[in-house]
Amino acid sequence: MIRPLRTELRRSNAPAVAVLLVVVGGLSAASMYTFWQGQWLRLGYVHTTGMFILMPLALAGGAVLGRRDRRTRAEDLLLSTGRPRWQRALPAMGALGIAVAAAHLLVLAAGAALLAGTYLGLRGAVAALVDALVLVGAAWTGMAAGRRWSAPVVPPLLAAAVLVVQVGASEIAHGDDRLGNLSLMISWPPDTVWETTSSRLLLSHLALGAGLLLTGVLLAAGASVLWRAGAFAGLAAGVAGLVLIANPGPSGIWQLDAGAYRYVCADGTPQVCVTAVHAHLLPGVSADARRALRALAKLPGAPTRAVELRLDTIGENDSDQWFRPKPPPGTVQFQLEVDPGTGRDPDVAESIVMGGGTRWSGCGHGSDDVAQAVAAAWLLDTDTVRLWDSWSGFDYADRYQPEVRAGVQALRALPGAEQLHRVTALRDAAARCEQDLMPYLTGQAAP
Amino acid sequence: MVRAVSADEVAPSRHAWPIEAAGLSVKAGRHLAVDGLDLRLGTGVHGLLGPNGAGKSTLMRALATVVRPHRGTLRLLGIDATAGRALRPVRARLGYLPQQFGFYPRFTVRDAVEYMAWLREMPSSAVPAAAQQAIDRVRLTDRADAKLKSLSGGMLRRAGIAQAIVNEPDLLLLDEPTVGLDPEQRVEFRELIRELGADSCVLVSTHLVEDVVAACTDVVLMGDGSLVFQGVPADLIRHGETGGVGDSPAERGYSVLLHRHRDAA
Repeated sequence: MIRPLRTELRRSNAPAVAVLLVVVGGLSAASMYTFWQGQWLRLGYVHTTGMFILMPLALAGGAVLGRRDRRTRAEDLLLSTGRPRWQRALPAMGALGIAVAAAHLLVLAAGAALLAGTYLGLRGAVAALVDALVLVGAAWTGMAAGRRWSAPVVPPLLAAAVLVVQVGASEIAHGDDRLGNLSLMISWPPDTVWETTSSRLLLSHLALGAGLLLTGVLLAAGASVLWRAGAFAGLAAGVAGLVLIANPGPSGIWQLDAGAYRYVCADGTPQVCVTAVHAHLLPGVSADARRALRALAKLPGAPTRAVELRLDTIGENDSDQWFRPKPPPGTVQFQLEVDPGTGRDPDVAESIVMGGGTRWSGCGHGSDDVAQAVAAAWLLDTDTVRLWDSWSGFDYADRYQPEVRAGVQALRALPGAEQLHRVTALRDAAARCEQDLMPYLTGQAAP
Repeated sequence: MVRAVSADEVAPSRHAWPIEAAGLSVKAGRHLAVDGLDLRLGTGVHGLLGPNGAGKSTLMRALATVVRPHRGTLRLLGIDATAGRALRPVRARLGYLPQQFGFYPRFTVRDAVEYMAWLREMPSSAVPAAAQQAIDRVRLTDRADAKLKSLSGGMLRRAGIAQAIVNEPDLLLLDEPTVGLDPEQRVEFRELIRELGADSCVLVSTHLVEDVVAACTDVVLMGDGSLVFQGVPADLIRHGETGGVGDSPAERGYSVLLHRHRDAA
């Protein structure tokens, strides 16, 4: 068996199909590099959503191989040999199965190599293993179809049909319609970096893979009505599992990865912690956060610990969700947003000291960004602060630069004790979730 | 070549005729291409002659267990060839070159011959040496690692013969084996099948009467799906001494026998 398998690995279309899957899967991942740069679980999303196109390609590749016996007129010769039908099919099925699975995992491995040194939890690789099974099943089912219907149009027709079904299901399905599960393209990307494919989604893909595998194996083993009925039952069960097991919508697709979500803390004091997915950023972040904690220590009752802000549930694609979690006592929170261009968060210290450490204090998104920025610049002994976000970069903050600079100048013109008093008053008001903070800096607030 | 042999291979045969057909009818599509054929062939080289449409290739396909007989009995190497499950041991001892030898064009000659040895259920340890010997015997040694798609028609035919003999079959069926071979290669091929026919049953289907006369111990002539003549080549030649058309006595004998058969029908 080993010798024919080796021969098929070299001589069949298995290497060509593998190269095709690597190229398409690789290009698909490369086109979204800035999205998953430094983030293993996001690579997992990009990798699994590519199944939308990879699965039809594997199916077509299998059909091309399945046509081979009739296309090359080798059927008579093969039928005169003693090995049972399933044994005759085994080397080609094995070779194609190895090729498509290896191609899919190779793309993941290449991505993992690019992410070396960052969080690489095993949970993030489970989807790729399940998807590899789906690809093997699709290739084997394609082989069975190619053996049964040997017209040259069968491979492209199969691939096109599966693509049309997926696109159609995506278009027709609305909201919580399970029909949308027919498409392997995930329409809702993960909102946070701690989210990985849910167990139910994995189970639904596993059902599809098992159904396809069963179909391919049964059609390879026998040609009688009973075998065919079993194969179609397997296929139907797999598709039913895909549609029915997973819950539609982001809450059905994603779940928190406990390994990615846990805190990892820097050595030394004061304590600075980030989630495991950002552990590779910890040296730079801890230096910035400690600088911010030293600046905040100018105020009475300042926090002595800084931790990355994290959500207890999967994200809701709502920017306000980041302003709702309340920090533990004595702790200041900060959000990490990484600039793909530099691979680091450019404003850790600035965002921590905004409003005297109250920007992420669970009061919702405050409207008085200018007053918070004036307090931050005063604490950091700078003329201004510039906050960065992944949508607009520095543009949003730069709109208010003249007002912030003027506010800082005016504040510094006051006696030292008054400056401290006003910034402390602003911090305390912000902690009480007051929205209008500038009067505390200008001295116009009610005592 | 040294290889282990199984108990089956050294066991004395319990059948008088490697091929034994009685009232055999075989369909090609809906058409009855072989109709009520009675035939017994023993060890040696047998030439199967007949015009186009006589049912030669359909008979070869039935003997190769590719198609199941429609009626009658067929025993191959002593085993009932109409019983599906019993065919496996027969097929392991069978060699077959179809009329249209098709195999995977990206395979090399060696790949194809080794693959066929595996399909014929040879012990895996014996496969490389057996494949090499088969390739050597058809004089393709220097093209053993060439892909089938790069071979000329004659070379492809020789590769087909190599795959058919790789398991040293007890029953070797060659359908039009000399198509595409040049005269020198045909002479070499005749030597090869004479060698193979020394201890196995070789049935060669061909249009070339002179090949049969030169290499076969026995001649089978088919017409319209039934047996027209069976005898030694000398008998065929004798029939040609009194008339018929053709360039040689054997060809004239062939035409005389066919005319008689058609007239009788």
